[in-house]
Amino acid sequence: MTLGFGDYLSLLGGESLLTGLVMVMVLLGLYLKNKNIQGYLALAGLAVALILTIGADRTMGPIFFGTMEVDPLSQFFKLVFISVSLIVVLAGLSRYKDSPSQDEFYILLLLATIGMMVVASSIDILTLWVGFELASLSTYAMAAFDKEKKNLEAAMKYFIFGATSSAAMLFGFSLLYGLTGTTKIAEIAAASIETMGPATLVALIFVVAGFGFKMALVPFHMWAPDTYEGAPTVVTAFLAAGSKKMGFVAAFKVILIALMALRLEWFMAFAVLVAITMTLGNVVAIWQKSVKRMLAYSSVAYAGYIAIAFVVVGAANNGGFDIAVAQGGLAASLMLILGHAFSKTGAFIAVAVVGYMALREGKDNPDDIEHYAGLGRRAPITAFCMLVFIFSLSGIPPTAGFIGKLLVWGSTIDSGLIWLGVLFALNSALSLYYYLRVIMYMYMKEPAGAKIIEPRGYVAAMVVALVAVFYIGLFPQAFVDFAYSAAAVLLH
Amino acid sequence: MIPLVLYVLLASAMFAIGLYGLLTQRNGIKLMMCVEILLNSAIINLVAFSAYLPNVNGQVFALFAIALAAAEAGIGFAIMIALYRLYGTIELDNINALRW
Amino acid sequence: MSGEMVAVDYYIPLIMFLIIGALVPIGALAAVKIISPQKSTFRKRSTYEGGLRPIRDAGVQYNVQYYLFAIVFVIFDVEVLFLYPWIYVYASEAIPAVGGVSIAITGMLIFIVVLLIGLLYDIKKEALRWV
Repeated sequence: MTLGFGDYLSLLGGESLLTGLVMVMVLLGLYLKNKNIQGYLALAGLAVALILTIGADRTMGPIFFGTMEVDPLSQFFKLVFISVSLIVVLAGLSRYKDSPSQDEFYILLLLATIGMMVVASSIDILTLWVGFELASLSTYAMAAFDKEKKNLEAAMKYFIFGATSSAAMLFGFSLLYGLTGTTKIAEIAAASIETMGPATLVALIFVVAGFGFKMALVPFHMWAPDTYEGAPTVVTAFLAAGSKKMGFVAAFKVILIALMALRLEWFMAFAVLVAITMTLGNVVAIWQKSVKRMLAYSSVAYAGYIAIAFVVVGAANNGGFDIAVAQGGLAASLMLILGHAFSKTGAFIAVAVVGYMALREGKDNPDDIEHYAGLGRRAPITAFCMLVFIFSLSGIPPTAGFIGKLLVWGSTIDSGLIWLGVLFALNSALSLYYYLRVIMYMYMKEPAGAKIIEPRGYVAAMVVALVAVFYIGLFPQAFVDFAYSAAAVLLH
Repeated sequence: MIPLVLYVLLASAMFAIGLYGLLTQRNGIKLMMCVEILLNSAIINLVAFSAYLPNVNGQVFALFAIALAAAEAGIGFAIMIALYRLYGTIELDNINALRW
Repeated sequence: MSGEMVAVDYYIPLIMFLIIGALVPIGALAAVKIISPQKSTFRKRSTYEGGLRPIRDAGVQYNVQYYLFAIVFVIFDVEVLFLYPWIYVYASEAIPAVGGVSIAITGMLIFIVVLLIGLLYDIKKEALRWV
């Protein structure tokens, strides 16, 4: 079926709009004297893109010669990416107000969002890789944005690890292409059943390594804490909530489909990886003095929680395919992704407010936990939002994080992996320890300074994230249904 | 005609050399050269497979890979130059503000 | 594939691959350590082993402007690459026209406009001005 340009525009309206907006903003940035308007332009563009993405027809089938598809899975992830970037732009309105190069921040952010949306939509390894690279290259530059020593070192580490992982991924893709003679993911999966051999496994290992870096799963997580700590805090929010989720959607699309087709007993290997990832993330997070770095390690732990979906699908696939269990596991992890995206973005933006406060008072180590003392009285809105995000991250009702964790826990029990469910619950309890420490500092300690005026952009960003976290937590049904239909796309 | 396996061997050897360099070298520019070697090994694979399958997809993939490798080098050099201006060196052993 | 194979059998070649993959570099490095002469003299360590004396320090500093030029050149040079496949298909029937507009021509026009915006950005940011 050949579709006209009009059909493409209505299906990929969000991407087209944002691409056009980026070009307009590049040109405007060259001629405008006062660039504060650029942030509002980006905000408006993202809001319209969000509406277009929700409204797009999800049943049209493959487009662009079978390289992209608009389906519930892609729209679910685009929803996450656009919302996260919307929240980050709101925070950027305060962070980069009156800065001479602020337009470039918004342009890079939009480009990264477009790349992630392309990854979410692609059903061909070529478009997937190109989208992946667009998002990665933009975030490398964003990590170095403030050009301070820490930023540049963070960007450097991120760049070296990221470039290596994308090269490994490309090598794996090239082998998959050579083995199957096609670049379409579905055809690769179908063809690898017939040509199954050690080479297919080698190729998959390269691909897993490539995605593993982006997801920050354990053997490939070394860059994440350093980069998250060193990058400007609003960029960290985007990296943890957006860039990492892109790794997951790509992994769901490629690794999961390929592994399901091969029907191997691969899930035990993943189970061990997942167990190590969440335990290591949580244990190391306990020792951190810097709240930013603590959240970075908790992000590593979350990568483990989300990756439980691989194990659950593998277990369901083992000896007779139990599609209901597999679908439940995937939907659970999609809900966890949704909850984590909003809570982590919000939490990092709260960290940005505290950092801003500490820097204004001329303190070094702006992210140190000491600065959170008495935050409940110094910056009441920030402290309350941080409290809710921390509740959501540790899985306390009625928040989005609770729904996700409950579903993931249920899926491990359904698939018969009791030990993994127990470990997951233990890890969640462990994470409470270091989360509660922050709450104690905020509400139990004496304030270390006077009350401050919280910047409006940050407050707006946190309130949006807060509303989303509560809304998903209180009315989860529509989102869970959405997640189930998205999971069905992968398992049909 | 040269058998396909030789191309794949060449690509694998290049990948191994690049990876070895990444693990042992500590100079920013050398690391970037190693990344380029990794990407080029994948490109050799793609073009060789494309010629032997025969199927044009791989060559298209190789074109995109070349363009993106150049863009990646551009970003990498920009970061290196900014790093050099602040630290006065790109020896990564001397750049360690972030520690756990 | 014969149906007799158990799933574990698939992993045996993989494990062998990993073992051999680990042994080859270790072997190569060990061989170098054993075979190569360890004695290092002044002449051995100098830049040219042939005895030529280096004239001055190798670390010549170039103007940083040169790198900007190089980066811009590399990117635009490579973008031109996409024009070759376009030339190959734009006249042929390989890509259909939709609604009276050829996809090949429209797509390439969009590509060139994006490149032009990039060029304009470089010019306005004075990346191409030699100081």
